[in-house]
Amino acid sequence: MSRTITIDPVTRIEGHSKITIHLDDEGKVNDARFHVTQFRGFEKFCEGRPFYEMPSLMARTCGICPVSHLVAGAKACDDILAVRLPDAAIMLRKIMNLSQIIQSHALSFFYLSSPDILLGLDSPVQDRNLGGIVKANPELAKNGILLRKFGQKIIELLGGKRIHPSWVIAGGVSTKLTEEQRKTMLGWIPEALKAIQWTLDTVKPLLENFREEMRTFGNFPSLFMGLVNENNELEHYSGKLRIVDSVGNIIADKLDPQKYFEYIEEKVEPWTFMKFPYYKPLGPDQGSYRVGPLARLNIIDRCGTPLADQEWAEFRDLERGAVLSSFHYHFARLIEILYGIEKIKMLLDDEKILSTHFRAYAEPNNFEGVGVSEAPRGTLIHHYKINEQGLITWANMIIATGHNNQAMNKGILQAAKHFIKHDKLTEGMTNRVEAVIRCYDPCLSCSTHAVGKMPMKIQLVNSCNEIIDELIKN
Amino acid sequence: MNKVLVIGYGNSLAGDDAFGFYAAQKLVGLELPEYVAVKYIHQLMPEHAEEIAEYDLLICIDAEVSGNHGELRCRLINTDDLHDTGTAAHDYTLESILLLARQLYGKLPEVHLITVSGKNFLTSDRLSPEVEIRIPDVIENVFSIINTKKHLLGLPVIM
Repeated sequence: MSRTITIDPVTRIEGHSKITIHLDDEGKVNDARFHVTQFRGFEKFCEGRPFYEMPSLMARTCGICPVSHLVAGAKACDDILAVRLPDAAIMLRKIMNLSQIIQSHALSFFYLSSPDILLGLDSPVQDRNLGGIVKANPELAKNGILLRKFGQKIIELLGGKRIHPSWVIAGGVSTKLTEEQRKTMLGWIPEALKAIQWTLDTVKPLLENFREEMRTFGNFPSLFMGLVNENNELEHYSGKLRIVDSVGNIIADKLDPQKYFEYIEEKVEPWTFMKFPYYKPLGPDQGSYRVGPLARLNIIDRCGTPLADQEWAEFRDLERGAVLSSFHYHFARLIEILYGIEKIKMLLDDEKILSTHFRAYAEPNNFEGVGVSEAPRGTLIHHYKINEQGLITWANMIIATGHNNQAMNKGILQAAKHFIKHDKLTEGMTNRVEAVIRCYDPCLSCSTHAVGKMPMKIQLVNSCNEIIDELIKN
Repeated sequence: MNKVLVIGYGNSLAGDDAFGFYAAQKLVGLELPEYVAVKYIHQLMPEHAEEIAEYDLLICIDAEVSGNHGELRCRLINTDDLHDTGTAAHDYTLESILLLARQLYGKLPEVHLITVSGKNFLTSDRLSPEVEIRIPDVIENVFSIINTKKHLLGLPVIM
């Protein structure tokens, strides 16, 4: 008798989703699906709006990573204007984008995932939160708060507010950086660097306790995609796209991000609102790829900052070829925080950043524009078309979490097959399946939440739709 | 040195949930002594714990679901008896943030909570009239609390 286990909603992620695990007649897992149950209508209701509103408008997609949408949206508008941005504008946008990545990674690791790592996947569910971390290791909690605050403070200093700033605009940024602002940000760097280095030293030994999870949490061959700069180093704002295979071979390089539609295709499944992008030349299965911190560290030749490069060397030693286990997204995230802090300092140390030339002006010169940047969770693509009045006629966004959709589904299937073997569910089993999803830190537009309570119900249902076991968490 | 922190919080797209947000925004527009800092935010997050721990007096302004529409309540939070009400990713309560502040930073200010009962918590970017009308009363309450505590804090009176 075939059965289905439903985990609804998945907890400690950004947004609403559920997981179904399908059992065969012998009670073995034969399929698992990650369903996104919320709908994003932004591409439709922006139609008719002036194109220059798009960066701020599309940033409203999300309350966690609005800056990423702001940056990608502004880049798409730059493309419509066909302008060359002043150096100061690019540098300032890079700082804000990196700050966004730091604060988002800090939220993902310290608030959402570190309870699993520090307390264990079988620890009492009521302890698996920041409160549990405070009791077990207050220094880790303090550093998490400090790092998230570091990113948010920079966003606030530059953009006027922590969530949904509108300072990044078509053609550049809206105000110049003052010497006082620069000094303030530079003053925050040493403490942030100390916090992430302490965290890396503390967390790396703990990861060794998760050998079984490393083997089974989305550990499979796939492609990896992300931006690299002209030196093939880590890049989150500009550069070209590179794709490597599971062995680490570069299979596509210097791909023009603005022509993404020539090599990325999306397939649709009836059971989820999220599409399944893939690398077109290899088809939906072989062309499945991963994006985000793990992918970015797999595709580069080096990070490009001294301390992050040391950690990256350790990361690459984890496996021969590309690092395949999605469990290592956590380690990759911490390395990117370190890189981000170092890179922000490098950008602030450059005198050009204080230039009074921080915006390029033009009327629309193209009827179409594409903006691509790296968001915390991976490559983010905004694509707009306008009419002669400069009003939006069509928009498309491929969000980072979407790129990882196929990989997340494969990952939960792998974990479910390994950990769910009986008719009787345990909390530890289902937490492991959820924890695979948390590795990817999916962002499902959590800004639409009205109320924060998220009870979770897991049901074991037979082929006659009879509930044969049920777990409820509040 | 800032000794008093006033935080108003709420979702500005969820109707009366934003009462605290708008009340604090109104306070910012008034002439305030330099020892009073005011913040209006979407929601309380762990990052606010450190900041809260740095003050002597904290006044929070929030909306309340229960009670008659527009009903104003003022209470002193018993910080000696805080319980871990859960610090899940999207569900930080005032109590959980205060607890974090004490556990991580070792101190807490005296905490007052002023609430007004809302009428509409559905999607809207404005307050219900019977709720909005209480903003001046809440501001008066904020000043009253600060003045009552001035001797403890060694601060001048706000007129």
